[in-house]
Amino acid sequence: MRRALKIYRKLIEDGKLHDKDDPSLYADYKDSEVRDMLESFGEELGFTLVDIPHTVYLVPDIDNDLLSFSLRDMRENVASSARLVEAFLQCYIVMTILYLFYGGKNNNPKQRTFLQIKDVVSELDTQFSNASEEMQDTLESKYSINFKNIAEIWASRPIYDDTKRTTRHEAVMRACRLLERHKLTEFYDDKREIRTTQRLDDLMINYYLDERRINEINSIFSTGRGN
Amino acid sequence: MIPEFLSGFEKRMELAAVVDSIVNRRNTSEDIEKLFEKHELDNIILSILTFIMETTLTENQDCTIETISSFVRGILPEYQKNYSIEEAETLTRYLIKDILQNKGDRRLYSVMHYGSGMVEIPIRLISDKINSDQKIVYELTRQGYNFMFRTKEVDDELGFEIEEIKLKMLISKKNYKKAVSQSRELIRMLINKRNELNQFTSQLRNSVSTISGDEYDTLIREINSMLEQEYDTMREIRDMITLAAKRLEDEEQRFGVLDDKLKTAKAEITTITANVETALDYQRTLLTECKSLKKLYLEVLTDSIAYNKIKTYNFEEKILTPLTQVEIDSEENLDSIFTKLLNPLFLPAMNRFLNLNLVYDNQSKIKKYEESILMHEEGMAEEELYRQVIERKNNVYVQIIDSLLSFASLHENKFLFTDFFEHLRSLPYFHDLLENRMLYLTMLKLYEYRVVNITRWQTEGIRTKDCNGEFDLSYCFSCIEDRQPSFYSILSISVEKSDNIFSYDITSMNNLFFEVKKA
Repeated sequence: MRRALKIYRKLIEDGKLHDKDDPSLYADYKDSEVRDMLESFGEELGFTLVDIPHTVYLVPDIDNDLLSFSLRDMRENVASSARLVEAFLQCYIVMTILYLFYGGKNNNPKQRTFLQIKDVVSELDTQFSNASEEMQDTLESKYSINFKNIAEIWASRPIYDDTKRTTRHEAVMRACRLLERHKLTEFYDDKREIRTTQRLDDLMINYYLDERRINEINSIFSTGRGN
Repeated sequence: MIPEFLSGFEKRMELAAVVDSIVNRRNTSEDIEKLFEKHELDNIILSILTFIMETTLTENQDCTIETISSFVRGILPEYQKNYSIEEAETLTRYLIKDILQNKGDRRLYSVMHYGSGMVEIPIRLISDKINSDQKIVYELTRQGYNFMFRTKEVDDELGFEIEEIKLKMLISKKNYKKAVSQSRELIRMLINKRNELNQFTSQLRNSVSTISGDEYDTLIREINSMLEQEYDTMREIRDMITLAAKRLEDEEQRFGVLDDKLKTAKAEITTITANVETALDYQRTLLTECKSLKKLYLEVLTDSIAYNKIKTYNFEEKILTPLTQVEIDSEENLDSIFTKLLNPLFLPAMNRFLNLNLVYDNQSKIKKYEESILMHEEGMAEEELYRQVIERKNNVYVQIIDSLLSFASLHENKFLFTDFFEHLRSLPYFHDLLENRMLYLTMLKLYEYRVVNITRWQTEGIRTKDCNGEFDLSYCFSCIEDRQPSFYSILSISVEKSDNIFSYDITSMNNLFFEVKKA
């Protein structure tokens, strides 16, 4: 039990356990008794252990409230007075960045080694301009927001302006900083570009994009539509 | 029945694919391309590849955007272009990142592999890595090196062995001058092989699925041949050159002094000896690295067999498209979607909620704790943002003054602001200069000063190394002096108002008249 708790603590603190960084803990993890215990913790506390060669990651279940970040983090990431639509925009930018890195088809989802901030801005320009043309104005409730609203917010902002914090460039930078805080990407070349960390590569390729998660992903959107 | 002469056809097509990636480049920027005549950029791209080859393989130094950019700036006058440091850097970034690296995306080309059908091969001439200073450095890939090798040096694949034979012959013929460059060629080949080995290792670590067993076999076979068969030959060469050096030494002792020809030969022999020693060193290093690669390859293969390959869903179809169709009616609704989407990737947020100290403390403390972290993070972001804004503004002001001086140097005595403005419009960073009306405000400041006096500034000897984002002529001069100490031979520029009006976009102002004094 003590060994399992030590590993659990390490996983909570760092999100991962690596064989080279913590050889003795990793050796304990390989003990089937300890591993069974950790799996029981996972069932009770709502997390999954993603076990890949040389590293184990702790991944909170999608509906785990105890171990998860909250949208509050996202709103604070945009500004203290951020509105719902701005939080939606930030989230959408984060997902677009992930898509640009891992949107590859077939067996090799990772399609890029780096992303320039200007290219993320330009990709979002394209996506949002298509949205403005295609989407309807009507919403089921006057308090609702949809993709068209975030497209309008995006379009209303200048690409770059030193004196303003609400620019397209800055919106992308904020999303990148959030990813950086969670050790998913890193800035390079005087913050002109980002690259994925080993952690993000491991989690995306070995867990996040797993076809077996399709039902889980579908369920997210069925609740999202408020049905 | 496929004719024998078509075997290996895909290799020929690979060369065509490489050329295609340069001449039919993608991600082109019209603003930059239009600044050059047809084919000029093709030449510059090839020049950059040659520079990377020389720097990383012959001189064994790191090749960064800054070093490449400095090289590009140096060759641009051959294309009748004089670019400032910033302009050259913008052009270099474009050629390296957008063109040669295809914006980080893979570039594929379909080639016919007779017997197997059309296959897509990846084309990548340069690769990058992060060095110990956390800087991005560039080097040629195997494909890039093979291409560059064929464009000039030799057109066969005998490689290392033939280069060694050439060196032996040159030494035996006492043609030391050519032997020096030949010995460098050997080092270049060995460094290239080492880079190839490192690139392969890093690719292997990232994803075993992106490399084939054939690639591994070829690499290991080539390295083995360089090491096992050729190591002895290199030692023979070392003995030959030692003997040549000894002969010269004897001669020097016999006659007391060497004539100019023999002195040159002596210097050349010393260089060859050093190069041969370096080559032997590289061979030994390769031997060790090759052994580690073999071990790693086996490990990764074992791991990939032990861990089943995961089948993936389509990210765009399953996540991005639904996001464009979703209707959010409350904060909880949005929270629910994004928490679920990002929970599996973000770090577990245990500290805020389950930290025992906080649990035993009263509720307000938790809030305070949270807020202090957030305020700190926000504060850091603000500070960083502010610093970046200042730095960017300072750079723009320096760019404006640098461009003005460089433009003035090309004009005899007088020119108008409209002429200068037209010149600026052709530059890749033109729009940066117009931001926040910085260009116009700078011009008005210069008009206030009436004279931009470099000579006086130099005599006063006051150097300004910091600037707060406001226009400061002394700061601009200090920055320009670091990279252009001659100030383009400009002594001073007088600024006068002209009667006609300059208009662009929504801006309208009196045209200005510049009078230049040169050294």
